[in-house]
Amino acid sequence: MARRMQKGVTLVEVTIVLALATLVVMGMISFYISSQSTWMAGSTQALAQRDATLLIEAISERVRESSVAMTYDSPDPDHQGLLLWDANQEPLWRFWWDPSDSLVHQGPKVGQDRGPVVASRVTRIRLEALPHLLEMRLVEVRSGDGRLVRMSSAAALYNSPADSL
Amino acid sequence: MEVVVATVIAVIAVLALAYSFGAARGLVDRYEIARVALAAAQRRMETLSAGPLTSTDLLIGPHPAAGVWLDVKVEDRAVARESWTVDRYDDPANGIGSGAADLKRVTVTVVWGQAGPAETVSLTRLFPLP
Repeated sequence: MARRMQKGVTLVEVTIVLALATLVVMGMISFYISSQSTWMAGSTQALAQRDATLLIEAISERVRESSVAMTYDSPDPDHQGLLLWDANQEPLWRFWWDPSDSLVHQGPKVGQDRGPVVASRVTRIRLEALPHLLEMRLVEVRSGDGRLVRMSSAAALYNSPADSL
Repeated sequence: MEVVVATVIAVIAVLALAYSFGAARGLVDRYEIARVALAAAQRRMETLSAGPLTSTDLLIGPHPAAGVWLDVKVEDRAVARESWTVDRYDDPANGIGSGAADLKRVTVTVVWGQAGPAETVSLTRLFPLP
């Protein structure tokens, strides 16, 4: 009777509760880390996709107002630059890959750098200038978690001389 | 009893949360292919624009042929398929229904996805007659 009136918990009960609580907390921590990792990977991947699209659109916009396009190795065939001229044969715009930061920069003339087009690192950019078309054969952007986003597109030079069509 | 109910609800909530992260990741990957497909459709449209208006690619009808699709490749890897159709278009500016086809309407369609229903992106542009 006296034993039944006793209050409190035994050491065994405390141990079991602590063990269960530890398991639950560890599970929650593991879940949080895993979720955060998944979220970060998805976010950086989405950013890289957006930047690849933006880069293609930025190049396309300049190409469409150009008359002549010329590509060059900057500094190798996997990293090409682009020179654009207007209908008066004046330099209009240029894009180039900068090895110091692995970003594609842009500017109106040689020596004038308006900064990178997008913030994502570009691992490869292959271009080909045809008489009335610029082929973006490969635009490869690396996301923050190391995954690669590859795209290709083309843009017409609407200001190129029509008589050569 | 309350503990059991609370535990079941908590487990369901955690599983749903975990599933939502996985689903979101899947959507990001799916959206990547959609962006690639849109860029491919733009490439085809720009290529057609850059060519002569008398090009065989702009003849009235399906291209490359009815029911035939071209592979969309990014670095030699096929990621989608494309085709385009050219049909006559009556410019409403000179009278709707006049019957004169004064423009060509080009619709480029890119489809992708192996499992389940294919997903599609289409671009349409009007071209002048040669």
